[in-house]
Amino acid sequence: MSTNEKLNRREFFKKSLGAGAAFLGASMLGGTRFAWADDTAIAFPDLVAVRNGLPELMFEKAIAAMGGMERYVKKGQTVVVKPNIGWARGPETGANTNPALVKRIVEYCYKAGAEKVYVFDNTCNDWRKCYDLSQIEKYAKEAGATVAPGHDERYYQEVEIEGAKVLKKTKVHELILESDVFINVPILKDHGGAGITVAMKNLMGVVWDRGFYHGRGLQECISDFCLYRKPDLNIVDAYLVTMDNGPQRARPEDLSLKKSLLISEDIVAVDAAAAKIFGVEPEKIDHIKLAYEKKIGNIDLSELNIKRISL
Amino acid sequence: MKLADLLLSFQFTPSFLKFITLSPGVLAIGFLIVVILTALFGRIYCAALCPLGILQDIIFRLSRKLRKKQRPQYQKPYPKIQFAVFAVTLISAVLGSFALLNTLDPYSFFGRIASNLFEPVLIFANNLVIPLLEKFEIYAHSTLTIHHISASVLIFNLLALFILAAMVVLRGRLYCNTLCPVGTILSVFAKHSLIKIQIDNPKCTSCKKCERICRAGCIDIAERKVDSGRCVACFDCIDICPTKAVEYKFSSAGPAAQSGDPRRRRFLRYALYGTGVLTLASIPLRKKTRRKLLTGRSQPVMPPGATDIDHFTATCTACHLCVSNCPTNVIRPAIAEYGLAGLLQPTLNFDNSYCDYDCNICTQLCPTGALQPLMLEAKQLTQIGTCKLVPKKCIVYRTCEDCGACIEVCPTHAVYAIERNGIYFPKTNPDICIGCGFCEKVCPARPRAITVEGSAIQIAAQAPYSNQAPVRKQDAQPTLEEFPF
Repeated sequence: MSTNEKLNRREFFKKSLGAGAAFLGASMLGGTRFAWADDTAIAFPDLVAVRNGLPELMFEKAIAAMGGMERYVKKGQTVVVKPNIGWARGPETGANTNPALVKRIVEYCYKAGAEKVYVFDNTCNDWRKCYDLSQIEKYAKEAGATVAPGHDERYYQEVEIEGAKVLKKTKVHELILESDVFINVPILKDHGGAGITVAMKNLMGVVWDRGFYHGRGLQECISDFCLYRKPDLNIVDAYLVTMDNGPQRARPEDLSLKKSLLISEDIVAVDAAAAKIFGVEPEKIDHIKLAYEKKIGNIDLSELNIKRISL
Repeated sequence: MKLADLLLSFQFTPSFLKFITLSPGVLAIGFLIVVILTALFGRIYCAALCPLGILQDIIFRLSRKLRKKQRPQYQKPYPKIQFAVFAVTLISAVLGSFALLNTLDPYSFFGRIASNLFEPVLIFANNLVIPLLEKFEIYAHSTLTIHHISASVLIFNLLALFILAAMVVLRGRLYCNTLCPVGTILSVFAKHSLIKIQIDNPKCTSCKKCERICRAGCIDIAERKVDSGRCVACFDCIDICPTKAVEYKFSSAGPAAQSGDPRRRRFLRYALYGTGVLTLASIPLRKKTRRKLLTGRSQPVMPPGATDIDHFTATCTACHLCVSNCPTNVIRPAIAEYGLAGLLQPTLNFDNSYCDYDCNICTQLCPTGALQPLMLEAKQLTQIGTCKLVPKKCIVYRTCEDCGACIEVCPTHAVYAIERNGIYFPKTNPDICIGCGFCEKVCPARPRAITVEGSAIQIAAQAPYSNQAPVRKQDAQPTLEEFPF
């Protein structure tokens, strides 16, 4: 063995011990994340699409593929989960988000260390009836969520939206303003005004004055709102999809059991994918196109890293 | 709710109206039971069952506590006023205008005060407490909306309460013995009831304690007489008599009272003829306002179960039970909508509310049968009005921007979407519209592009989707066999 080699081995051992000691010290002091590679380097998918399972089970697979709820919810944080509770209709009608899905999401938030998980919506029918008949209140409470009301103007505060075309200011629910994490859980449906209703349209339930959107340019306002605060995560319930005569009181023959679920941080991408499941090109839905033009997200699914899971 | 129903069935006027209009359901004989009880025991209805009586007693007690100096004594009766008021009320009711009956009927009177004055105060108090609870994350109760009350309704009821309170403070149960139609009817039976409050002459020491405590002012110690016609059977006099001279016992036969001065009788006769003539003269006037109502610019929307406008306005006493129980607060008291004859009768106002598709509460609890009870499925096909869309006022037709507010909310899809060049235009199908008003409520255009015109006769609508426009999209892939991206 040459002297060089001996020196190299000694060097190697010394450096290893040193690195090891430093690492041990660092881990005792509070974190070794600096040593791991960046999230982006590991390449979690931009969008996860699951099919052929129950909503809550598809969600479990999807969130795992996204890197786990721990990527979005840290210990001690407050989370607001915003499903579609707009209508006083039961889960079998496809008018509101599947309640079992909402329950599973709340459970995962708590498991990831959330301090408090809130569930609410600014409903279209009487809020008490919506919360009861949709069964979302019951299921969310079973998971330990605080189900909060959204029917009183008191809960909303005015904010200004920079860069908005039409929706320059609006009153937003305090839970959206104050919570650490914002999880958007829409259900995919046909909509007789907007075309389809998915993640962006679901955000109409966090503002007080929905009539403003309808009166001043529905599609423009839907896309404008995303300039204010985008959800940290969007989970689209595409299990029982209303294909026509939506968004409520469609005929039973208008519903299709698509049995799928989509997850993404990109609200435009998830809407685009949902549009395709619905059977329409995303560019044809004005608010998706406008949001893409406002650089809120990516409409072109071919550019995205999509994980597809069939159960 | 159960106790309230029970008490409601004994309210005189509602039960009577339900009986004479042969409303379906339980045979409404509550008023007959009240009459029988009165003929046996005196006007116990007035002290124990009548809500207006109880309200007056509360005011009476309060006024006594605050004005100790006042010492009420025997009051003389006002039979002329009592008779005249009753005659006009009866004649106008028989001829078709219930305005006076509705205004004076004690149950309806109380109902309006409770629904338009007390309830907002209670809700206001509730809304003060709720934010405190919410600070502790208690969401078990929530804030309630104070339903809109128009200024005229508020003033009317405040004035009525003020006048009532003034009468109570000054003269006790004066209302019950002059204006109240139920009081007048029952006084006829109570005058000769089987069991009465009477003063036993030997035991009485003329201390006048009973005369002073009598809330109806009907005890005259000078004559040692209790006027049974005006006595409301509260029994305070019996309790307070130190010698137990005031007794509640089978009536002893006494000489029938003379009706008095023949000149007085003649005057009463002419007064009666006069009111009769006046009321008859008002018939053509009433017909004119009714015609203007039906052919005028719009027919008011009546709550479901009203059947038709003649039945409704002739049977409703404007008690506002439906107004205060409506969960969406869409039912409001009318001022001019039904003409003067229908003052304060309920009508639907869609400015910021709508009739919930899954609700039939008003039809179930109307005590007079003005709103016939409807099962939910029947109510969902009852056309209380029809939608009318004016395209030149509609934002979508004017600006080619999507809106969809009316399409979104219609429960029967009488308002539906037609797609043209990527824009969703609303179209209406009035045959399947039930007039719930949700479209009118949410329309963002001002003036509104879509409104509901009331139906004078509530017919059955056609079933939802029964003449549906063709399906816009065929679902090429009802199940997802593979991801489309």
